[in-house]
Amino acid sequence: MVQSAKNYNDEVINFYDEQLVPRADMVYRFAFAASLNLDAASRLVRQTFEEVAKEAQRLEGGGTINLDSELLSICWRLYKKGGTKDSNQSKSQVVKVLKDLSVEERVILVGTDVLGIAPNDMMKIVNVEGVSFRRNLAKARGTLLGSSFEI
Amino acid sequence: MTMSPNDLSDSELLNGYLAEYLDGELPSTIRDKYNSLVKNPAHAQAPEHFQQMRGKLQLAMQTYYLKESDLSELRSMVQDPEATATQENIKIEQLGRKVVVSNILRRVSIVLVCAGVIGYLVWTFAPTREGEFKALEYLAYEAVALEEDPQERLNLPSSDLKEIRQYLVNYPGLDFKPFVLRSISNNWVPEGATVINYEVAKVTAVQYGHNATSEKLFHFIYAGDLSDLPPSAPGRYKDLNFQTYATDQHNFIAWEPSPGVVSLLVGKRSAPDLAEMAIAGP
Repeated sequence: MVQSAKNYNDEVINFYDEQLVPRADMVYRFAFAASLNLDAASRLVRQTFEEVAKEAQRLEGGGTINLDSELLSICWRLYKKGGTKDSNQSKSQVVKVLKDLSVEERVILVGTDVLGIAPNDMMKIVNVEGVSFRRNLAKARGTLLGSSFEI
Repeated sequence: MTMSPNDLSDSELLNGYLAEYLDGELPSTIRDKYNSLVKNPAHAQAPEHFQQMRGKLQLAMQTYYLKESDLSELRSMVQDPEATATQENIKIEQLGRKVVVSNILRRVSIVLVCAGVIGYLVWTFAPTREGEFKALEYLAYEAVALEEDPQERLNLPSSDLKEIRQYLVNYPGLDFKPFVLRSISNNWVPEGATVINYEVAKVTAVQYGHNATSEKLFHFIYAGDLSDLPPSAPGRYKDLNFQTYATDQHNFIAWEPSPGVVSLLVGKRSAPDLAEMAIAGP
C-alpha cells in the first residue's frame, strides 16, 4: 500500500522502527486471540499500525507511555469497532482451547498469561473493572487447566 | 485496586490469582484466604498445573508471528519522504516494466496467432505445388502397370502416331502442349496413349512396343520442373541435357523439352540409348 507522504523526523522514524514495529508480533497474537483467524489478525495488525503511524510523533514524545498497552488498546478498539470480521476460525490446538471462551475471556487470558501484560493494564485495555476482570481470567484459566491442551 | 476475598467465589479467587501466587505477589487482602485454599488437597496441584499449561500456551502462541513482508509493510508506514519516494519510484518502475513485458508478450502472441492462422490458410487453400507430384515414384508404377496390362490402361489403343498426337493435343485441361516422339526408329511401333489424371497433375503417356521383341517403351509428359525431381548425375547427348534414374525394372531419362514441361522416357534400354531415342524429338 502506498501511503500519502507524511514528514517524519529521524527520531520518530527510529522510534517507530525500534520500539513499535518489534511489538507487531505481540499485537498479532492479541488480535488472533480476539478473532481466532489469522487473516483477520493480520488485518487488525495493519489497521493498528496505520493508527499508530498517525500517532507516532505523540508516542515518541511521551516518555512514560506504556507502549504495549497503547498498541493493544488501539487493536482492541479496532476489533470492537468491528472493522475486521472473519467467520472462518483457524483449527489449531490454541483455538480448540480458546473457542469456547468469550472474546473478553480470550484476550484477557492471552494478554495476561501469554503476553505478560500486568492485570491492571489489561483491565484498562479491555475496559473491564476489577472483579469482572478476575472472573474472566479465572474462567479462562479454568478452561485452560481443564483442557487436554498439548503442543 | 482493592479486592475483597468475598467478591469472588473460591474457584474464581484460586484461578484468578494463580500468577500472583506463583510470583509471591498476592494482595494482602486475599493472601490468607488464598493460602488456605491452596493448602486444600483438592487444589494443591493447581499452581503447578497452571504453570505447566501456561507454559504450553505461551509456546503455542509463539508459533504465531508476522512474515517479513508484513513487517516491511508496517515499516513502510513511517519513513522519511525520500525513502517513501524511492520506494514509490521502484514500484512505479516495476509496474512500468510489467506493462512493457505484458505489451511485448501480447504483441508476440498476436503475431504468433496471425502467423498460425496465415500458415493454416496457406496450407489449406494454397494450390498444391507441382513439386509435390512424386513423378518418379508414380510413373515407375505406371510403367510397370502399362507393361502388364496395356489394354486396360490405354484409353486410346492405336498404332497411328498421328491419331495419338491428335488425341493428346485435344485432351482438355492439360497445362502443357503435349507431343509425341515421331522418329524413334522403325523398330518401335506406337501402341496407344492415355492421360493419367492425378490430383496434382495430368500426365500424358504414350506406349511404344518393339516390333521384334515384347519390349516396351513409355513416354510421359507433365507440367513441372526438372529441378523438382531428386538430384541425379546429369547426362548429355548431343543437344539433350537429361537426368537419369533407374528402378530394378526400368531406366529413366528426364529432360525439359520446354520450360515448365518435363518429359520422361522409360524403358529397359540404357540411358544413352533412351537419350538417343528422345532426341528424335517431336
